[in-house]
Amino acid sequence: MDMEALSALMGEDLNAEQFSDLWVVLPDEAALPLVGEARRLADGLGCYVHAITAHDAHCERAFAYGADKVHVVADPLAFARTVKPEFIFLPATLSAQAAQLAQYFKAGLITEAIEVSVDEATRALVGSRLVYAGDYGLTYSLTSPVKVATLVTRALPSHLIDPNRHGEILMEEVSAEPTVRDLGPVDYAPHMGRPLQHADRIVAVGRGLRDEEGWALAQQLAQRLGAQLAGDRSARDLGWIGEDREVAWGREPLAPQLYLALGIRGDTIHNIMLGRAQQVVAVHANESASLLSLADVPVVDDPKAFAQALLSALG
Amino acid sequence: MNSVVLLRAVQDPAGLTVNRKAQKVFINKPALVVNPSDRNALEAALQLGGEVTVVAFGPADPHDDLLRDALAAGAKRAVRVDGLPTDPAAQAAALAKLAETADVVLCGETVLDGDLAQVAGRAAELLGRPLLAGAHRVTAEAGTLNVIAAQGKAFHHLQADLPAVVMVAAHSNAPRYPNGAALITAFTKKNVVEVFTPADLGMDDLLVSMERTGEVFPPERVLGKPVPLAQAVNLLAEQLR
Repeated sequence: MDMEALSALMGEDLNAEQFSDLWVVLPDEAALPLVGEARRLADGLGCYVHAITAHDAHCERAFAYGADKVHVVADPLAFARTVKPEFIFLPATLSAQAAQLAQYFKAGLITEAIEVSVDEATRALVGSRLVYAGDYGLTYSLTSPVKVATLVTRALPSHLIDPNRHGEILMEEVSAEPTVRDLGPVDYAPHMGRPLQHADRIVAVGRGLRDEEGWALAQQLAQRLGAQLAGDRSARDLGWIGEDREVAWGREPLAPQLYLALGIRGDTIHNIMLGRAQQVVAVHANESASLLSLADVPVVDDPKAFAQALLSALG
Repeated sequence: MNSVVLLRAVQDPAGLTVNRKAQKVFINKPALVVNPSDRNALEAALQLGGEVTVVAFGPADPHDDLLRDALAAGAKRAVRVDGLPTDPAAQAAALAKLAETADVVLCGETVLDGDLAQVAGRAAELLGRPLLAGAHRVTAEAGTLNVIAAQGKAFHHLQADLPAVVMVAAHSNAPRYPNGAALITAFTKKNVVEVFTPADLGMDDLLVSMERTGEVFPPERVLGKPVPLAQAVNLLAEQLR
């Protein structure tokens, strides 16, 4: 059965035949791996990969990642509405705008996907996204004529980059009146939470540090590492950290490269927040501390001695 | 100024355990709570002033309780739509119908469960209104909405003409707690929640945009064996130097 008959059978007012190829919206260089992912899927489907970018400079890199055509246009999102894509990929940072685009095309949308694949028989887009603290993911399938997905760039596998690949550059124009005016950056002290969510390194403290001396060492260590200080409920009760630095439920999960926990036993709520941390180093004097069983580097020793030793090792 | 706030119920993460090895999700304590960033959206709406309508999609239990909580916190009107599929396109269509006359629609930017954060963007498109995402501070004056929004690590001042749709970032403000008397009133009064069906809203065909086909579990973490202090210090010092 061909797609047209299938569409008629499903009562779809959009004709799937009108839509073709895989389109990628590239707001910046960080989104280039999306082109690689699109190339991988397009090879299986036998279709072209188009990239839409606002910067000439991205063209060569986009070709290297596997784009066949690059459309250069001042407003990539507005231009995306004028094309007839079968699949559109955007980086996860544009999830809000992707929802508008998906509704425009009456398309299904998977946001913040960590992996995508295409069912070659039905051409359904299958994608998974993490829920809750990233502890598990849900898989969704889209069968609308147009399928939209936003992808988490850092979750994608690495792709073959071929600097000798070349393609076609098309200069496009689109007229669209922006409805939201960006009046530029402002200084704003956020209510709470952001320092921790964006931190690459976190030094977290708990009651196991025992006293003010231990707390002072942790502060020195955080300063030396350029890390954010955080703590569990016990550290907040001791007055070491404020509410905004407590690792507690309800916040976005933390995703630092390094989470160094000094003297934290680790209750369920604390531990669930670390689901996306890349490396957890836990130091606690008591081997029954539950965080030790979740750490990449568990150390059963005095946290104060550890902080002291690490400080002197770092010089 | 009329605003509409969407409240979504999610399983309390504290009552949920994931066993990656067994590839199973265990719900130890089934309890639905308001999605955290939706509470921030409600607070932003209450700070804007004017009449706040809270909207929820789903059955009476637990959504009526969540709506009554919001009424106690200061919302004027509570609306629940029953019999709607848990699909972002269907929910956006219902939200757009309910928010036709509203000046501002506010939703939480992130949803813990499912893929429902896209409802706000879809509703903005259906209503033909500007969408302001990542809002940390929302103010309005003379037909203009000013938003301080997070863009990457910086904050930008965004401006749009009313009416508009705003996605409020989690933890952008401190949601207020309703006082006891207001809670007693909200929970003892009868018929405070207006209930609609999709047919009442004139939604004949419900667009279902996505189908949940399964669950995936990231590979189990390979956990380290306890490391002696000196070895751990050397490892870290080398990595961080």
